[in-house]
Amino acid sequence: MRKFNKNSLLFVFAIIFVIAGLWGNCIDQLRWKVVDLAAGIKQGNIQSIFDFKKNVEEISDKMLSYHDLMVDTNSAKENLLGTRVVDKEETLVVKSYSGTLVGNFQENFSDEEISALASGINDRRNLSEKNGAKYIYCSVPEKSFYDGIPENVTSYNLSNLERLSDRLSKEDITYIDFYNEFKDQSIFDVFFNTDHHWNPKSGFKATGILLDKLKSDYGFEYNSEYADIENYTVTTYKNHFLGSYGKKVGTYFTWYGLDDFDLIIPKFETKMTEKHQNEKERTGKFEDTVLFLDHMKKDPYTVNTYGTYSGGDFRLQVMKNELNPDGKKILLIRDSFSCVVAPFLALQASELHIIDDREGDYPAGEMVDIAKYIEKEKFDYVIEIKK
Amino acid sequence: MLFSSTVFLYIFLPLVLFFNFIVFKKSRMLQNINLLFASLFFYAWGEPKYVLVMIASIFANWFFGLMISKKRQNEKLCRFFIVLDVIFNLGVLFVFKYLSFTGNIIESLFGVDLPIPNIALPIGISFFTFQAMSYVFDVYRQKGEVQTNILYVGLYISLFPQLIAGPIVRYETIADEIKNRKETLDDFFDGFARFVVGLSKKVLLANSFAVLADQSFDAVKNGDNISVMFGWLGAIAYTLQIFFDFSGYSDMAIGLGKMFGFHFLENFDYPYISISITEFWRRWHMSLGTWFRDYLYFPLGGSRCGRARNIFNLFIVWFLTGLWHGANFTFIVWGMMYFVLLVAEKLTGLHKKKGRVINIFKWMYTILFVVLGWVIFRAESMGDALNYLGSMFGLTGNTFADGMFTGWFKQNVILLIIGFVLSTPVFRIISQKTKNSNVMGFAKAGGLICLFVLSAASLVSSSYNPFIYFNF
Repeated sequence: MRKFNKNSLLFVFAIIFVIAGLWGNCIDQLRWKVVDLAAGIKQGNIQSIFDFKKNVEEISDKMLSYHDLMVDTNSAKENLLGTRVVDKEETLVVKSYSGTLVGNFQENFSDEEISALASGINDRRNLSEKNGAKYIYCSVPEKSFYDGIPENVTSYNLSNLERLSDRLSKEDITYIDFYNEFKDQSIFDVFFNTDHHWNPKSGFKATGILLDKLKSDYGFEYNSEYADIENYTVTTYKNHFLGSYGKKVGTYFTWYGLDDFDLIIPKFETKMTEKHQNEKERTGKFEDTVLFLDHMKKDPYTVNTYGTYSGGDFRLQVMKNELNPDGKKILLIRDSFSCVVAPFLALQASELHIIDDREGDYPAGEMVDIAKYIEKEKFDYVIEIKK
Repeated sequence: MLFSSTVFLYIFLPLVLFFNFIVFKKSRMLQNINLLFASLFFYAWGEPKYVLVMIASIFANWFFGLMISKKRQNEKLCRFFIVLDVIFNLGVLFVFKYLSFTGNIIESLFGVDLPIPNIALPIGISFFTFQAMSYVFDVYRQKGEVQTNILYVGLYISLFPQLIAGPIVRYETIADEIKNRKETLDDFFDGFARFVVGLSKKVLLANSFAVLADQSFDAVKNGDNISVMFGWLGAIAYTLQIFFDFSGYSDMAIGLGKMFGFHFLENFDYPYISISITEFWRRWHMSLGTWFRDYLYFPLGGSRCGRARNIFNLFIVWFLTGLWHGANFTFIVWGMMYFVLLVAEKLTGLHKKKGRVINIFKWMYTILFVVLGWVIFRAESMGDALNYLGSMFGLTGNTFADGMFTGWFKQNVILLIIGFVLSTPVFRIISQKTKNSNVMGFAKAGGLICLFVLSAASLVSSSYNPFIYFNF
């Protein structure tokens, strides 16, 4: 009797595995692409062949039915092997000593680079004051400030920030160093584990610190009830969010898995409007305007849950508090850290205009000329919150 | 297209198997045509323009093989066609691989400004060119039947399992199997298991070592003064990377060939256990070594001549072996290093000396030169190579160890241990001792299933997946 070849089990498993991966969306997509290719060839369109190749590679790379499970499996393997540093898609993701994901490591900025940064901030301050606005600059905390990173990774972020802070204080610029404010807290309390951003509670707290500073330095009056977390319903969605670093390295690259995500909604009455880019204006309650609850769908690798607050990053966004028509008009110049600040800050203003002026293609859309915008809109306050 | 890609694993291979074993199962001719077109498609996927170079190579070598077969009575004419064949194949190789390099040398030597065109290197050209020449040589030597059907010549030259990264399959090895191969279920399943072993070596081991090796070599290239230990760590990582990458590709090629009924010869035999350089080259990239031995070294006279002539023959072979690997002085120096060591062994008889203690010394000296050789091989220039070697021996004013070494070592220690163990034939020994054990058989199948899933997971995660044969 022929001996049973046990390698046949491997092959049978492989067939089932491959079919399971292709089943569903993958096969449908491949079918459409073959149809497109046939149509392209019929029209003599050579480019359709190259497009087909690119599409097939993308489908097989990204659309397998168990894509997310495979990424999770790979992340667990890397975790077990002791990997701590992954360079992926031009982002260096590092697992810190406490097991949280850290990134965005800067080189040591030269004195000229620090001066240029300080000078840019000073120009913004002068521009604001020239147009009748009071100005404040805020620097956000970064995870690499809080935790040890492996010896084979160097980071000058904190020393760069300290040197910038010195320069800003010499220029007498009203300034909040949020790292100082959050220094005594644990990295797990301030930030997500799988993302570089601070969490919604930290954003809420940062808004309170900002409001206190505006009051103490500029006499800004704000509604203290709106700044009290007790007046909000905080719903914690457990194991809900996979941050941008987590999406790159996988859920189990650290044993913490998915992050919890807090949804903070006012208990008090609200009436607001929100508009960004060329989209239609949204009107209604806080949670229907400045929150984007479709981002709360649990789909770790696809959905950016962090974008629940403010909807993500836009070149220009305007939030209005209809119940505070006599409030101040504020410009917020931001990066992504302001996503969890803007909604709560908007409650304290009549209008909050938000501009993302980061260089490059992200966010999408035409860059706003901030100088012209400030001249045109006549703000009471210009707040800049940056990393 | 690469074997270690989702498009190969999920789309190309299943389709080729389906057509070969289901649709065309009753016709060998149609199976061969299917394999030929699949192979051309496989190559064109990554090199849409240069597939024409391969097709031209197929035509030319088919023609020369046919002419030699028809004019066998006329020895002079046969040799003429052989020379033409060599000129054609090496000419193609020269234009695509060495023209720019040669032009730069002439410019440096004579201070002239030549209009050197920037020609991209078609992937695998060194492999399929040598394979094509092997066809004509073996027809001439009557080691294999001439293929009057150009499709079969095309199939031999372009067969996708070994097309872009070897092994260099000699025509005589599979001449008969082109038409008369017998696919068996055991070969099919064993071939697939071998493919999975190779895939795991490439994706799980080689790619991980690549990350580490790139750190140290890129640092030197960028002018950093790396520490002694970091230099050694990177060199060892590359030593492991190139072994698992290359032998992994060979395993995949041999496994795939077996699935289709082709039996390629082994290409690697645990080279890092070698106790002499002579032995190393009997275990490393054996298909290239035997190609040069049979088609160059022996026709030059081999060792059946005076000592001086023998040394000259070795010089030619090792110069060309180095040059075959890439158009850069680093490869030539690497080849020459082995020439010097092999001659030294020949003259001293070191490789023949036996004894437990002496074997340990021999292994240490062998592995030391192999590792240092890989540093030269990996570096992008002789300057980088010398800088790197200098760092390894503390000659650049560098520290002994630093955070880069400590950090990277800690993160890779498990992988390094696995790499060291799998560089030895320990699993082969265990496998042979337990080949009659049912439990071990199922355990092995289970282990391969896990490796397959982990490899697929790594590919789907778009983890780092370098292709290091772009010089070949």
